[in-house]
Amino acid sequence: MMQIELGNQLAFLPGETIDVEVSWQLPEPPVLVELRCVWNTSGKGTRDVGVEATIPLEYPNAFENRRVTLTLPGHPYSFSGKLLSIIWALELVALPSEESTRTEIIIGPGAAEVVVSGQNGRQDVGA
Amino acid sequence: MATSLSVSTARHSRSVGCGLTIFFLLFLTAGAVTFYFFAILPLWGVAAAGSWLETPCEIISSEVGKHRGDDGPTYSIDIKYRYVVGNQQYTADRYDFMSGFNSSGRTSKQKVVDQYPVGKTAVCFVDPNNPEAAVLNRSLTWSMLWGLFPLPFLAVGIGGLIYTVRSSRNAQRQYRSSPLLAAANSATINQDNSNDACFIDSGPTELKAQSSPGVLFLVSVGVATFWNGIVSLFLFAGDNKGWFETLFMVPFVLVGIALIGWTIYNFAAMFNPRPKLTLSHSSVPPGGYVELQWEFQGSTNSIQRLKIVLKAEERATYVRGTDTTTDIETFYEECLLDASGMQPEISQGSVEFSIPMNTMHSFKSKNNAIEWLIHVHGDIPLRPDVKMQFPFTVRPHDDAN
Repeated sequence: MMQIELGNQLAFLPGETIDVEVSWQLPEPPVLVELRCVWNTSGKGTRDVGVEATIPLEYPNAFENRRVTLTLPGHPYSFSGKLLSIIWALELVALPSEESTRTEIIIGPGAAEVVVSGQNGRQDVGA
Repeated sequence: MATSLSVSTARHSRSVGCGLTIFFLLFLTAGAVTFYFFAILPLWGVAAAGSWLETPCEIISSEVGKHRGDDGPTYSIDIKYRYVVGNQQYTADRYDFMSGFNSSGRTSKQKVVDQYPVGKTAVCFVDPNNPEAAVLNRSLTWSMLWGLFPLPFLAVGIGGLIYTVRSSRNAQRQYRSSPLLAAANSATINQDNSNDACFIDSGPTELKAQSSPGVLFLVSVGVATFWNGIVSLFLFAGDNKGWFETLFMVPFVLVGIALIGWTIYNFAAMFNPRPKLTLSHSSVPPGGYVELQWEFQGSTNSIQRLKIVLKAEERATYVRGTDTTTDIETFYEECLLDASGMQPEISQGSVEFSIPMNTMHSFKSKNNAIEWLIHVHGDIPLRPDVKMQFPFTVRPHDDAN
């Protein structure tokens, strides 16, 4: 079992530094655990993914809790449009077993996702 | 920006990749085999026969052969002749190096046969190393143009295989680099730092048009030549076409005519006045102001109305079957200029505008994009309009708090 804890906050400012509690309980000690900050697109287009930051957690035990400080990327913003959405997430991955977990977050101005309606001239900002 | 990956579901990707490989291999094989027999062998024969010996021969039979085909009869030049080399008599029946390939035209073959009546003494060309090999006509012939027919198949096969192999390699690389995503997906990986580079403000910048009229003209010439070349092969290959064949060819010919019209349109568009756009900053954040200057190269007297529009678009590229499609959705549009008549601001001018505060910055990944652009549309009566788009960069907020 692997876990990412962010408290109650899941929306952040671009470039904000955050503390992340990660924990795992695995049958045997992994060689390496990585915390990754990734985005992916969803919508009509073929999905694209960006791995923006990878923090290696070295010499892991089979059971462990760690606190990681992470500076979030400045872009792209979390976005929701008619054809395209950009979704941010933190991923915790144990290697080589590749057991993992994922928590979606929002990165945007005012700690909010940029939302556009797809209609000319109309757009809003929503959380 | 760090690593960028393009993802689609694993099972779907693998099965599509395998299917595409087989599909393109079939194309490549069919193209290669046909090209070998229709182009390589005949051309090799023509080249080799250049050194064959001129030898007198006697025509012993001469007729147009008729063969049953799926789409009507086909015809061949059937001429037999005998000749003597070193006190030994030989018989051959090869007219040229395309002999053995039948086609639907009878008249042209009858003309050849008429030149070689039975009993006539003619000249044939004999291979000195193998006197059994001879040919009556060792020149290049129009029928050898059939050798071009397999080229599109070869191009599709080779291009498709390169694309499939590249996609497969990228998928393997992504699988190693992102296990969580790989558990559900396979993907391609690419290093894309273009967004970061574009977000730097390097001061005033001249915008580049998304496509130029010259490039469009060249593309249309290429497409029209390719299409009409293939269609004309079928159109002029035979002389006796039935009504069904004629009717079948009509839509292909109409498309060819439309392509020629499109080429002429693009040619005329090359002589339009061309707008040159300059922004006061190479990138601008949401909420930021920027000045746009425009100036036309060439006379603007023909432009009756000029509209300059600021636009923001979502672009999503996806694969459906063997087609790759890009959908575009405009999410912001603002008219910056709408001038008509002989107003001086048509030929040159400037306008200041701002990017909305709560909007999305420019974004580009392999299959998805947010693009900000300036659309220039000049109405010209009885000629192609000026229609050009100039992308520019909206960078993230300088302070996103």
